[in-house]
This record gives sequence, C-alpha cells and structure tokens, in this order.
Amino acid sequence: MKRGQAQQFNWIFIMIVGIIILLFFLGFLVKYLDLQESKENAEIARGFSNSILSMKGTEQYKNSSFDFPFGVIYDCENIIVNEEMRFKMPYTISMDEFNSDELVYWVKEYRKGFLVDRVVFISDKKTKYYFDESFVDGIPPKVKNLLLTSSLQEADVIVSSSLTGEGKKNVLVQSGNIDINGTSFSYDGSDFFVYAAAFSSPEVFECTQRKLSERFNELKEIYRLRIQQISMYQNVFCNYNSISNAIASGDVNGMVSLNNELANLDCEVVF
Amino acid sequence: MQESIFVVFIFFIILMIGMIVFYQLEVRSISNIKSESEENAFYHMISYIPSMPELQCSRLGIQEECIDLTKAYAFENLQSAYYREVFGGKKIILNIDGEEILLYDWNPENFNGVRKINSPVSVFDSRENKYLIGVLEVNMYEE
Repeated sequence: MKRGQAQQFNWIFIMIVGIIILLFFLGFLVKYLDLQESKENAEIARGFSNSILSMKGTEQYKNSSFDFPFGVIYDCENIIVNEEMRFKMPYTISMDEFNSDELVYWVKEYRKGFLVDRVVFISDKKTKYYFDESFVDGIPPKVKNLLLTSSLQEADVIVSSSLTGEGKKNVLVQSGNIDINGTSFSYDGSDFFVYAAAFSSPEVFECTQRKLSERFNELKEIYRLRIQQISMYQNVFCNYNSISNAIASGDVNGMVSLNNELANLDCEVVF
Repeated sequence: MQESIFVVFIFFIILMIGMIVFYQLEVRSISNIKSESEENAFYHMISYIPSMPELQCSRLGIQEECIDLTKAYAFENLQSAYYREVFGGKKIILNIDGEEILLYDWNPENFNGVRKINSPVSVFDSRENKYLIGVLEVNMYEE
C-alpha cells in the first residue's frame, strides 16, 4: 500500500470510529435523559405516596406544592405518576385525574353508625368547586377557602341537586342517587358520598363505594366478635342481642340508638 | 499517527465503560427510591394500625388514641382475606402483659428475610376498665 493510500485509509478509519463514538454519546444522552425523567417520577411518586400515608390516621387537610407539575392517574389499585411510575395504594382514596404542582388533601371520616374508614380526597388546587349551600357546612373552612367558589361560571365542578353547567363536571344529587356526568349511582344519603363524587371520576367513585362496603362488612364482623366478648363479663341487665342484630342487618339508626341505650344503662358500649 | 489513534481509542473505551457504570448506578438509584417508598409504607404501618377502626378505642362515636383489647381479640379471630390487600406480606403482633395476640400473618411463599419494627401502644382493657402498655410489632417478609 502506498503512503498516500495508507493516510487516506487512516482518515476513513478515524471518521468511522468517530461516528460510532458520537452515536454512542448521543444514545447515552437520550437514555440518560429518559433515566433522569424516571428518577424524577420515582421521587415524585415517593413524595406523593408519603403525603397520602401520613394523612390516614386522623381527619385533617393539607395543602402541598411540588417543584413542577406532574400527572396522576388512579385506577383504584395503583397510582400512576406521569404515566410511568406505578405504586400500589391499598388505602381508600378519592381523586380524579390531574396534572398539577399544587394539591389539596382532605381526610374525611366515613361513618355508618360506627367509623368505617378515613378516606383521603385529593384535588388539584386550581380546580374550583361549586357546592349547593346544603353541602358546604360539612367542608372544613380551609378547604372551602382553597377550593370552593360561589360562582357557577368559575366552577370546574358543580355539585348540586338542580344546577348543571355545560363543559363542566356535573354532580347531580337527587333522592338517593348521585349522578356523575351522566353515570348514576345509588348511595346511602350520607354527605360523605357527595364529597367523594365531587372529587372522583365515576370509576373511582364506584370503587370507593365498593371498598367502603367491604370494609363495613369486615367491621360488622369485628363488632359481632367484640359483642361476644363483652357480653361475657357484663351484668345480665346488659342485653346485646338487639344491637348485635341491628349491626348484622346494617340498620344504622337502630345500632346507634341501641348503643346509646347501652350507655344509659351503664353497660359497655359496642362502638 | 497510529499511536495517537490507539491512545484516543483506548481513552474512549475507558470513557464508555465509565458511562455504562454510571448509567447502571443511576438505574440502581431508581430502584432504591422505589424500595425506600416501600420502606416508608412499612414504617407508616406502625402509626396507622392503632388508628384503624378495627382496633382503635371508640366510645359513642368518639375515637381515642388507644387499642381496644376486645377489638384486638376480635381481630385475631377474624380470619379474613380482606386485609391481605392492605397489609400484604406481614406479621402483626400485639404484645401485652406477656401475652401475644397475633393480629395478622401472611407470608409469601418465597421470602428471604424478615424486617421488624415495634412501638409501644396504649391498650384499653374494658374488662378491668384500665389502660395497659402494649408493644405493637410489625414484621415484613422480604422477598
């Protein structure tokens, strides 16, 4: 091979190697950016999950800000952050899809005679809610200030027994039924489910109702077993048969009045 | 010329190896964040369990910061698969006056170890009408 040809060959070799190295760096850069995004999503998911876990213990509310907006989908079992990072959420929460950097959390107790669960309602702070006057009293003042509006035009979500708005999420509450954007659900008349409907999609609402119903059934069994125990050491005038039947049949008014009656007779109450 | 090419070539090979190692470390840091998240959920259980309506003391609808002993016995006898979704692979024990109340136990088929946390809790014994100090123990089966 002549000297000129050898030099030409060297340059071709350098160019090929250079292109391979450049492609490697470009590939690495793309992968690295994806990885950074996944890392950020994992950190957001961790922060978001911790916020929910730390709130379950008691009725409260919280307002929290994040460094940048992120999207969240809840499929009733898992929370999916930015369509990528998925974590299991075994507790009952109530939320609609959102993309936001400011969130409001509100923990509300669900009682059906006795305490069944504390459910975390989560909302984008920018979403504005209009509630009929009759539902406003059950909302804590700070949550009211952050999320509620008295103007139907400003509202993104309208919760009412008669009013609706075009292009908005409409929650219609009418005698034992809650209608969320055309999907109808029967409910037990508790205001808790009115708030749950306001904060969740129809799918999440259906799942919240199912989860609470399952939990209620477990608690009924716990109280039945507890009654068996306390009736053993209480005096004979304390009759637990009626309250046991009321709990077993899910008669809420009956179980509450019978529980109060036990307290009046100086007997151990059931709940 | 060829020597220079060789040196540059070796340099880039070393650089590539460095980048691949760095990338692997970053991937590992993501799985660390995920496991930290699971760990937080585990540590959180020690404060969540005493506040569950299934165990928490309540009188006429007012909740108290204690575990009701009769509810703990009821929970021990419940035998429900419902709580597997909430607790997963855990063993939860309430120790009180030398007595061990097994509140929940479900272990996955293959687990490599057990991590344990415990915390003192106030326990109300309605039979004696007195408060006791118990220890709530949560064991996590690690897969």
